[in-house]
Parts: sequence; C-alpha cells; structure tokens
Amino acid sequence: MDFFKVFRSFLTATLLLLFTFSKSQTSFTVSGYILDESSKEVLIGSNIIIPSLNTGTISNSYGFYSITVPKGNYDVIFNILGYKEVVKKIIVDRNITIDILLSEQIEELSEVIITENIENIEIDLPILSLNRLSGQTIKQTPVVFGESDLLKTILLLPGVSNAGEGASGFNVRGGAADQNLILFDEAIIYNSSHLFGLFSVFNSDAIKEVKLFKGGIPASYGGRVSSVLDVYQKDGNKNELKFNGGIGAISSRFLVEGPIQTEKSSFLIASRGTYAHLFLKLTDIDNSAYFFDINTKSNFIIDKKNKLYFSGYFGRDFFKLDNTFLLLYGNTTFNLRWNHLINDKTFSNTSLIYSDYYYGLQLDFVGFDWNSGIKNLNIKFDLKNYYSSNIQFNYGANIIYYDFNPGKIMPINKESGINPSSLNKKFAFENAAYFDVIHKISNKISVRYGLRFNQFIRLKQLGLKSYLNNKPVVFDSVLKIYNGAEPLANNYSSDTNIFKSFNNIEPRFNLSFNRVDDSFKFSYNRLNQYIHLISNTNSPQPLDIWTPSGPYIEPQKLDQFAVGYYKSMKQFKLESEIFFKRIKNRLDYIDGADLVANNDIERTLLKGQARAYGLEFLLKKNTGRNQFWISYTLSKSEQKTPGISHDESGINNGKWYLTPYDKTHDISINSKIKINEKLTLNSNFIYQTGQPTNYPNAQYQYMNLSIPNYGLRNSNRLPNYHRLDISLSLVPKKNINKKVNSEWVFGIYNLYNRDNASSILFRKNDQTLKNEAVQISIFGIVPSVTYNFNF
Amino acid sequence: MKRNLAFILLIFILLGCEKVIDLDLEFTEKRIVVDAKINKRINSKNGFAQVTLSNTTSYFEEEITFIENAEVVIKEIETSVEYKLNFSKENQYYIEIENILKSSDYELNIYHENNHYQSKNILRSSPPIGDVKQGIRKSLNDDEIEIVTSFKDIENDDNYYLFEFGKGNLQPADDIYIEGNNFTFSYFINKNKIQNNELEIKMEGIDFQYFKFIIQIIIQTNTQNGPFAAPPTSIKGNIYCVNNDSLNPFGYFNVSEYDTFTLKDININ
Repeated sequence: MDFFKVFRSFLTATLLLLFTFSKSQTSFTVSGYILDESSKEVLIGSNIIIPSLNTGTISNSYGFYSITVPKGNYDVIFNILGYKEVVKKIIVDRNITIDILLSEQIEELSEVIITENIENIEIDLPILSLNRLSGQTIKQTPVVFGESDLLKTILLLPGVSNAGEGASGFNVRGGAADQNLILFDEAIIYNSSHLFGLFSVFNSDAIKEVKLFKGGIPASYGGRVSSVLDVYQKDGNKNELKFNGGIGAISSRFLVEGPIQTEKSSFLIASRGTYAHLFLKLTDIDNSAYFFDINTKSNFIIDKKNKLYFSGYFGRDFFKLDNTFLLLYGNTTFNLRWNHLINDKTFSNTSLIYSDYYYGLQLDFVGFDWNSGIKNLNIKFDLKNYYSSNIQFNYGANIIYYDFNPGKIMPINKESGINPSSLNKKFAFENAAYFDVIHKISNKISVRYGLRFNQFIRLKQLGLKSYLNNKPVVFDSVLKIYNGAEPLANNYSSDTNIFKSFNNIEPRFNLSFNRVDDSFKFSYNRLNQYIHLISNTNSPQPLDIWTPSGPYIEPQKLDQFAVGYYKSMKQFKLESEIFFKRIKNRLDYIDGADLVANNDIERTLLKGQARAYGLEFLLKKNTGRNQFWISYTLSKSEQKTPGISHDESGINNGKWYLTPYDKTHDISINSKIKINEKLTLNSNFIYQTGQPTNYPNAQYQYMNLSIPNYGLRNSNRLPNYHRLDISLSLVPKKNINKKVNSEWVFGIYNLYNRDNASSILFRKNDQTLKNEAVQISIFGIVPSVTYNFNF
Repeated sequence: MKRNLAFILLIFILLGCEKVIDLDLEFTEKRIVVDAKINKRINSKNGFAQVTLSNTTSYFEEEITFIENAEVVIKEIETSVEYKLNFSKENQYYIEIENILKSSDYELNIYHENNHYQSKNILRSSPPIGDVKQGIRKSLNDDEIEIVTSFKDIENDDNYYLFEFGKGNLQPADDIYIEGNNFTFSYFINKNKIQNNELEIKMEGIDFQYFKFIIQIIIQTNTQNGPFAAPPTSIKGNIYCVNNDSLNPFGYFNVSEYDTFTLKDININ
C-alpha cells in the first residue's frame, strides 16, 4: 500500500534527522519530570526557565521536560499556576536528570508577583488559538444545578458557542459540533453529552487538564476540521489513599485514588450518576431517566525510562418509559500507553486505543429493537525530541481502523411484524504521519511548522449501490425537488479490497514575532475530515450516525488563517485574534431526507461549503485574591449549498445562510473573589446575540392542518440572551482532629430569572384554534446546593 | 416505521416553560394551495375526486380565503376521459368517478387567473385495516392514550401508507422492515381530540414522494422545536405551474385506495 511506503521513508528520514542533529558535547541536557509534591501526579504545562540564557521550555502532556544548554552554572525556575515557584541552582557539566516537586500554593491572601519572564515564555511561543483550563477552574465555574462541567465552562471562552441552552455539543469558531476532535486520554469521544446536553461526559473530578485548540492546530492532531479538545485524566495519587466526592441536587460523584506501590504506581476510579426519575414525576415508578459513568486510570513506573498508563471510560444514558420504550446509549474507551525515554532528549509514547459509541433503542409499541454505533481501534506512536533549547522536533504516525454500524433492527418478540435486518456495515482505515518543529529562530522570532500526511481508505463492503453518472441525488427541475436517484442493477464494486482512498497533505504553520512584553502571531492550517455525523438538526442527537467518506462523500477540507496580538501586563494577560476559515464539502440534506435507518444515505446528501470569520478578545487575571477573565467574540458563521449544476435550486436557493450557532456578539465574564479563608464567590455573566431561527412568512391549510411556511433559512433571530450565575463556596474551619475536609457550594443559575428564549415555536392552539407564537425557555432561576468532601 | 426512532427523542425536552408572545410576522409568500385527491375504497371500483383551493395567508390570519372561480379538470390518461369538477358549498370541487383504474395515470389541471397548474399521479393500493384497539401503554404525556392498529403489508413492492387518526392526526409508514408481514403499531393521541368516545381511523396507500411530504408536514406542524429540530422550510409538493415556475402551488395531488375503521367506546379516563 502507498501509505506504508510513505510511512517507511518518513521514519527513515526521522532517524536520519536524529543522527545528523546529534550534537558535539559542549552542551548538556537537563531533563526529568515535574510532579506534584504530595500526590506525585505529573504536572502538564509547567514552565522551566533559565533567565540568564533568556530561554525556557514547558513540560509535556506526560510531565516530562528536557532542555539543552551550554556547560555552566544556572538558576533554573520551575513554575506552574497554582503552585509555589521553585528555583534550583544547577551545575550543568554533564547530562542531568532531575525530577522537580512543586507544592500547591494554598496561601493566596497576598497578591503574588509573577516574574515577567514566566508570562513571556507562553506569550513568545508560536502557539495561537489555544485555551487551557485546569480541572480546578472547571470545578469553580458556576453552572446549572451546581454540577461543574467542562463543556459548560469552555462555552465561556472566546470563539466557543453552542446551539442554545439545552443543546448538546459545542461549536468552535462557527464550526459544527461534529467537527470537534474530542480526545479523552487520547481516545476519540463520539458523543460528548449526557442527557441530551445537560451534562458532558467528562467528570470534572477526574480531569487534570484540558486544552482546546481553536486554530493553529499542531500537526500531531488531525481528522476533524474545527477544533481539538484534548482532555487529560489525573493519574492518581502515588503516596496515599484519597477519597473525594460530592452530593448534589441531581447527581452524586465519588472518586478514589491511591498508590498500588508507593511512589511507583497508582490508580484512580471515579464514578458519578444522576438520580433515577430525573425530571420525571416521582410517582411514575415504572419510568426512569438517568446516566452514570466510570473513569479509571492506573499507571506504573517500570524504571527511569519506562512508564505504563492504562485508562478507561464507560458511560451510559438510560431512559425507560413504562413498557413503551427503552433507550440506552454511551461511550466506552480504553487506552494503554507506554512512555519510553529513548535518551534524555527524546521522549516517546506508544498508545493502543479503543473507543466505541453505542446507541440502542427498544420500542415495544412498534415491536422492534434497534442499535447502531461506531467503533475504532487506534495505534499511535509519537516522538518528541528536545534537540536544543531552541529546537524541538515532534514526529509520529497512527493508524485508525473504523467499524461503522449504521443500524441493526430486530423483532422484539415472536408477535412482532418486524423482519430482522442489518444495514450495511462500513469499514475504513485512517492513517496519518506527521512532523512538527518548534523552532526559536531568534529572541524575536519563533516558528512552528509541520506537515501531516493523511490517508483515508474506504474498504470494500456489501450493498453499496451504484448510480447513473455516479450521482445518487437528482434534481426534478419541474417540481424543484431533490430526490434520491434510482440505484442501478449492479452494486458498486471494486477489483481490490478498497472502494476509494483519499490522500492529503496538510501544511501547518505558526509564527510568533516577540517584543519585550507582547507578541504578534500568525497561523495557517489545513485539515481534512473523513468521517461525518449525519445530522440535520441544530445540535446533534444521540441517535445520529457517523458515516465515512467514500465513493459518494468527499472529505471536508478546511483552511484557516489567524492573526493574533498577545500582551502581558503584570497580572493581566491579553489575547486577541482575528480568524478566517472556510470549509469545502460540508454535507447538507435534501428536503424530507430520512437520515435514520437509511441504507443508502448518499441518496439524501448534498455537498456544500461553510465559512466563518471573527474577532476574539480574552483578558485574564489568573493570580491573586481576585481573578477573572473577560471574553468577547464578534463573528459570523455561514453555510451554503448551491447544488451541482446551475439549474438546481440548491438548499436555501443556493444562498449563504447563518448556521444555528452563529452569534454576532458573545460576551462572558467569569470572576472568582476570595472573600476570606472560608468563602469564595464565583460568578459568570453572559450576553449573546440571539440565535438565528425562522419565523413563518405565510400559512396555509392542508388536510385540516395549518401549515406554517418558512422562507430563507435562519433569517430571523431569537431575542438576545443574557444571564448571571453566582456560586458561593464555603470551606468550614478545618478541625485538626478530623480527617475529612468538606466544602459547601451554594449556587444560583440565572440569578435575575431572565426568560431566555431557547426557541420560538409556531402552533395552532388546541383550545382557541388560533395560531400562536410560543417562546420556550429552559432554565429560569435555578438554585442549587452541593456538598463536596475529601479525606 | 423508522420515523418512530426520531420521534422519541423530542419528548425529552420537557423542561421548558412556555409563554405566548406577540410577534410581528411578515407575509411574503403569496401562493395558491391545492389539497387534491382521488380516493377509492378498497374492494370498490368507484370513488371520487375532491379538490380544495385556497390562498396562503399571513400566519396569524384566522380566515382562509377559498378560491371559487377556478376550472378544475381531471383526465384519465389511459382512456382520455375528462372529469370536470363542480364547486360545492363546502368550498370543494368534487366529482364522483366510476371505475377508477389501477393502470392509468390521472392528470390534474387547474385553470385560475390565466395560470395553469398541473400534476399527475397513479393509484396506490392499500390493504384492509386488520384491527384497531385501545391500548394501555403510556406516553410521557398523561393526556395521551394508546391506539393499537394492525394490518398486513402488501407483499413484494415497496409500499408506503398513511394513517389518519381523526382529522389531521397523521402517521405515515413504510414497509422496509415489515415486508409482507402482519404488523401492529401504536399511535398516541391526545384525549381532547376524541369526540363521543369514537375515532375514525383511515389507512391509505401512498407514494414515496407523498410519504416524504407528509413527514415534512408533521415535523413542521409538530409543536416540538429547539435544538433537536430540523430547520423548517417551504414544503414542496407535486403540483407545478405550467406557465410560471415561480408560482408552483403548495399542497399535493394524491391518488389512493383507502380503508376506514371506527373505534368505538374509547375509555378516555
């Protein structure tokens, strides 16, 4: 296969590079891990700075750092937000391995002055459009029902929106929800929401760090065009057994972590669930609606050079109504990782990852059992070479095997009139290899550049239809309707095992031009997306089905440009960016398309394009007693589906229309005020332009029904959205004799009880028989109390 | 029966609170609306053609304006026999047709204000309704009761059916997963739509185009909306304006065989 040839020559080139770059020994390498002192948890994104050389580095996703400097004596600063800074005198006369322990900064009552150098190291890096959140930040952000939530927290960042309150998923820079690559300890998550969007699948207790790339996506990531949400789980405490948990208004959670062998290995198990009967009447004992999930992680330090990690996730949503129906869906992931230090400059990781999304529905009143889903197995190899203090090389490759189950239907019992039937399964490989270079050219200019080679192979399958001129959709120019084409007698066939393959090269380029305390940045990247969520609704539903690119569906292709200005001022940091992106081959759907249980989904699909542009500001104060961030986004997100030939009407007459998650203005202010040792006040304020929607431009009578008629898509807007949330956390005075630490969190969501419209529906009133417009609001004022504990 | 898969999901957005609001809506889509059908009861040769013509109105308008002065002609293509429909007081154009042919296309022609509207369709068969009973299953809405209907799918062929549970309560069905079988399904109907403890159920054979049309009608008149709704649109039927394609009417011309069943003594408590 082509791919393997490319891969082999790529590996050869890599090795060649490594050897050529082996340096003469006037420089030495300082390397090791950055760890939390008490739990021995590795710390991601810690700064390692050598002021006298005006250089530094950052610990990687596994807490590893490596920096190569000339022989000499240095003061090395180790610092990460929320931890006490450590300064070490290091005599570099040989290669040195040193693990650094940082202790948590509990004393926050005096304003901490941060060395300007430290802020600059991030500002100077050629990284744009990246937001980082710690598990702690997520836990402190007030949310509805007092349930801290990752997805609800990232909605407060610039450039991130969703299709309204109560919607599932999230949208980055005007992209669709299925265009986000969501990684949970490297495993792909296909549905990020529980309970149709009320909760996310991430248990914030188990989260160590979250990175959200909205653009400038490094070459190590690929496969989705809008963003990468990279979530890391905690490893577990290596020193002592710890428990923590919380009891909330609608859910409870519990986490246990501890050493398997002190300082060598640890485990973590976290679980949470909502109470059954959620939102249902308590008297309905036969009904239930709840979810639960379990996170696990364990890690083993084999020796100084080798570590093993195992992580897993299992989550299910469960709905049951009497004996009418039963619905069950959720994600499962497993990941086995091996960290290996090839030498003190070269860090490698090999992962074997499995993920699976399952959707099952039993409808007793029609007599069938239905299930669908997607599975993938991913083998991944990544290598980081900290070549010198100015150059870092990253390389890697991965192979993903996909198994798509578009649906299987079974009769529920002998009396059922349903014939057992399976839709045709689809299979594919997605292969990639990349290199990525972070290069500090001078004190003023840093660049990050890379290439990602992608290959998507749609494998041979049964039952894929063939069509005249390869066109599965035809246009009826008299009735102005799109119809699925009649399949030809012979199915689509191929002599080889492959139906169709796509090969693409994606350039990635970031540039940073640095001055004393500010920097200008630029990025360009291209990405391809080969699998698509077939969904015609404003936000994804659990039953939506993923489908691969192939003979009739082309990969989505993105080009994004961004320009940024970053500035640091003592305690403040300003990030501002302008972005422009366009996406080719965005799928749209013909009117009346039946997307569920459709064996020939290509007969409902049209090819369109999408574009988005905007301006983002983020002002942050991350230190001291009072902390806040203010984010503002001005943007536009549009889509267009013109049809294949000129006489076709396309969708929306072939004109650009706003996506459902377009929000012209989007402001959020998040603050944290430490009142005293015991009390902390957190708040959010959100203001957004109303979501695009449709109002009827006429009505007519058909079969005794009043049918509203709608004109151009999304040409109206809901009223503007705003609300204020607060939460007060109380940590009772610590009793030295007691081992249990506790915390009460009192929250109020939508403090001034604004009736925010989540939608406006148009209907005929059953009683008055008159048409009316009805505004639906989901959450009014919602108070909540949560009790958290740890021991 | 796969529409049911999607319907279930919408039920869960029950958290919301509702408020009737005042909105100024523009009325920009002026078209004529055609509700046309030829119906023949199963096991009978004869049937009727019935056409209602009206105009679109603004969304909050309560009066429908019917069109009375059109000329409506149905042509049996195979025999070239033309039937001119007569306007009746019920705002309908109507005629009885003897011996409706399974093999012939029927062409609808409407002449109104110098415009000529046209459509063509062919008779779709329906099996008899097997049985209808009241069930005891619950839906999430306490005001709904279960109606259990069974029928035997016509063998071979791809068949599409439309069930109407009293006026305006529509449930389309396809036979992809029930080919040739006896099949039983439930429809949940609001109690206040049942009068005198009786409900008339109508089943008719329809074409795929009409099946898709009805699904769009149901989605667009369904009182569900919000993040899990598909974007609403202008629903296109099978009738076109011969002389000006920007005047294609709303509505549909359907030719079908049907059966009815009256369910009596419904317990609505």
